[in-house]
Amino acid sequence: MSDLVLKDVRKSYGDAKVIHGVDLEIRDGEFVVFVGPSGCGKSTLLRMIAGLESITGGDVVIGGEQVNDIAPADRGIAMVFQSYALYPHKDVYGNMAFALRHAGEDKAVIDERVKKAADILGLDALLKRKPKELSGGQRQRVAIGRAIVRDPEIFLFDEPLSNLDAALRVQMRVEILRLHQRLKTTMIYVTHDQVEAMTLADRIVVLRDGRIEQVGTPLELYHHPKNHFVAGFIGSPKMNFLACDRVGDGTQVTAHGSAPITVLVKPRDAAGPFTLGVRPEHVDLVEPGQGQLDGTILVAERLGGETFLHVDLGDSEPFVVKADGNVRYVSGDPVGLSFPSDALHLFDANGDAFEHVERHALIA
Amino acid sequence: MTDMTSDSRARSSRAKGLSTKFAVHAVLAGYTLIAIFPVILVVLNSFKNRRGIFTDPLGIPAGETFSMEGYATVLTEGDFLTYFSNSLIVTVSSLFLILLLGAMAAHALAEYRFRLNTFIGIYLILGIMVPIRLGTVAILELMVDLNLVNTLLALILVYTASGLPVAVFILTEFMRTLSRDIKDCARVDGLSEYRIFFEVVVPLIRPVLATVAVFSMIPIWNDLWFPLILASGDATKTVTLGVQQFIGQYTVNWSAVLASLSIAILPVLGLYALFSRQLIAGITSGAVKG
Repeated sequence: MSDLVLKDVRKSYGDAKVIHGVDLEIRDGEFVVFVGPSGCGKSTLLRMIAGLESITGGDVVIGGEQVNDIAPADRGIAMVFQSYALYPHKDVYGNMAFALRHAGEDKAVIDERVKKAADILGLDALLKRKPKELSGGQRQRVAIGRAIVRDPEIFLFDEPLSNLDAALRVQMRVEILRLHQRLKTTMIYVTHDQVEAMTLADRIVVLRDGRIEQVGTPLELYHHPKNHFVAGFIGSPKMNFLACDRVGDGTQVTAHGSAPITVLVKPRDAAGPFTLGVRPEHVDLVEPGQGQLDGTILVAERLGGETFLHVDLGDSEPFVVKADGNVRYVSGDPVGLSFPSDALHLFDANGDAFEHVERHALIA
Repeated sequence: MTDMTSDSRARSSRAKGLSTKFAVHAVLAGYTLIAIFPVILVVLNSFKNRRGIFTDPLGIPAGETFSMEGYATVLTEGDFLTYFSNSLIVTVSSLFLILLLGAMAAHALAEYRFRLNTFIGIYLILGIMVPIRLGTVAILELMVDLNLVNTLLALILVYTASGLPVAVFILTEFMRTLSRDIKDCARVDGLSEYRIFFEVVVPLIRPVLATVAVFSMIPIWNDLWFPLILASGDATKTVTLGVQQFIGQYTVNWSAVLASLSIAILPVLGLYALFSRQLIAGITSGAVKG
């Protein structure tokens, strides 16, 4: 069993508090992604789990054992770093065998495990190469291989794909996913890239300023963000936010003097000003005057399969609509926007979301 | 038309490149000549007899001017083999200590966060600004108290102390540029801090160690001051001190002096060749996208 439990974990450097009490349980075999803007403490948290940063307060428990003061090597973890961190003076085989050699493992066992890891990652032909003779993707594969060889209880990935180019990143993302399906080991993955987070994770942990904002499955975060920050962070292009007023029984709002827009949330007492959240993909384009709001097209970004329309509603930021690739709008066209009420989000003055009446169909 | 102009432009730039190349090499060759001329003169004249040296200092040793008398004197009179091994022992030991202690101190300063880190860093580096010879009297008194006068250990200690500041300075700066991840990775792999230093950090800084070794080595080998003061006994004489016996108050046995100097060049040359291999390896490994 290798459940990982964080209990009120804190970290500060002198007076500067970096992690403010994080509570989290990660189940055996789970793929958990820490995501957040840079400086949110996600890497620090990972390094604390690894044992590379001391823990100022709270407990890190792996498999039922408190590991606060246990050395990284004895925690049953393996880590993959953003900069690959390969030993430049050792060849691929030497890099992968290094930890085992140090642990005094039997030569035959080392050989078998290195060969097996090389086989999984397709590195068989490269075992005699030095890191500098490898491409970025191959280097990252060696770094992952080095982790596999140690047969850890928990894999830790610290932004492993950030140094790769876009195409390679997609490819390696799939490889990591397949690796997880194959090894079924707990993996904790840190990234600032929300696409990586959405595609890889069983559960995503969204962090901001050293605090957990929300933990949930990717779709849970997408459909039911707990607050303004998570709503804006998950999804691309990001969610549009409109200042609005509640009218009627509290489930209707008006924004920019629009007709009442119904939001399917459970009404509760909360202080305004309120914010309406609309994802770019949850807006229908209609004739001007037919929808709840009218605007003017500022820019049409055509990606071929889809088009991002930037619509001017009089705010400082344009309202982004994700439309079909074949829409004929050009800059300056008037357009009507219609909002389907089951995909809208409403936030109070604190940024907390109103709970939706119904959970999304894909989330149990 | 465009082809022609681009072609002629290429040709003229190639011609320009050639002339710049020539100029660069001319300057370099000239400098090399100036730098190496005294050495050539020393080696040439070491193969001449006294008359040959004074009648034609620039001449090639041949016929009656050719003589091995200088070498004969050096190898028979005095105990040159001892001087030699003394110099080697002192230089190699001091170098080893400078590199080992310097690298360890630099690693600690660059890697660990602790109180007084900056202070200790400045303290260690301060020695660059204070010439160690200012402390000669105090050092001599200290060595007398420690009963270390006329031992090689005295020299080794003094040279290690004088070489450390620059070594620490250069190595610290370089170690700060080493990737943190690779050391953390070694920690996750279960290496102790000492093994991280010896098995991960030292291989990475080998080119810089070679640089520090090369320019720490020459002043130690060539020093006359401290051997004269701390270890002038016959058993502990170094080469530079040994040569002095041929320089009398009234007569100087030039053949012997030049012969001993020629021989004295060889070991440093050998050590340099050893380190420069590392230097070149370091330079190229950086150039080929590490």
